[in-house]
Amino acid sequence: MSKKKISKDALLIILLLVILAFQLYRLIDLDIPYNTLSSELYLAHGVQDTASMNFVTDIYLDYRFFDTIFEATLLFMSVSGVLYFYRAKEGE
Amino acid sequence: MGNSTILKIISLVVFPFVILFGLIIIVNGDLSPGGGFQGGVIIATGLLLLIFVGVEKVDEIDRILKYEKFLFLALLAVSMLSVFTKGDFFTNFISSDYPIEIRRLYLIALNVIIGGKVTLGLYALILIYMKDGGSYDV
Repeated sequence: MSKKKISKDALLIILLLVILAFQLYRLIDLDIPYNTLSSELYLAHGVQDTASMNFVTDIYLDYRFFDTIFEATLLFMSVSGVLYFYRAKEGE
Repeated sequence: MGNSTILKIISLVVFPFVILFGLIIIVNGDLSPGGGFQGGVIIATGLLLLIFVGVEKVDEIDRILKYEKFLFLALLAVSMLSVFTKGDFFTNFISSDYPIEIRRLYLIALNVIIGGKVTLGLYALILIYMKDGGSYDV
């Protein structure tokens, strides 16, 4: 039983190191522009499409509003989950 | 912690400034750094200040959560209004013919709704933890 757990932990660590290697590969040369299509689009058309001078607000309230809805849902679910466990404990 | 007169008086003096600061950060969310989430946490901190020193007591947490549910549904409703005017989900429902000052109202409305939702959620969360601990008499 403990041998299975050791090999699972080792596999997880190796996978995480592989992901870290992929991320660090990009830092070899920071001057190469890589995947800037969406950032150029947002900076060029941001003020005209939405009506805000703040590009961060632009992105999280207009271009990527779907993620903001899930953020609000997450806050809501965490509060209701804590209330549920408090009620369950009180009823004992 | 609940019986000090100096703390009660000073917190009553500081409380309106904290609420005002949070409201400025929420409403100016599209011109300066800030927005709904940040301002909501600030206002929740101001409201919790009065609970900690013993000036306020809260009896029903369910009512606070009922208002939070309404605000969440209002957030979804305001963002889905753009289906009728532009044919597209989750975007500004005022068309692009109007100047920027009128189109800003959508962003301000969204920021205020999100700010209220985060305030009520955090307020209720800390109150539940305090009731559960048993040492504070909330």
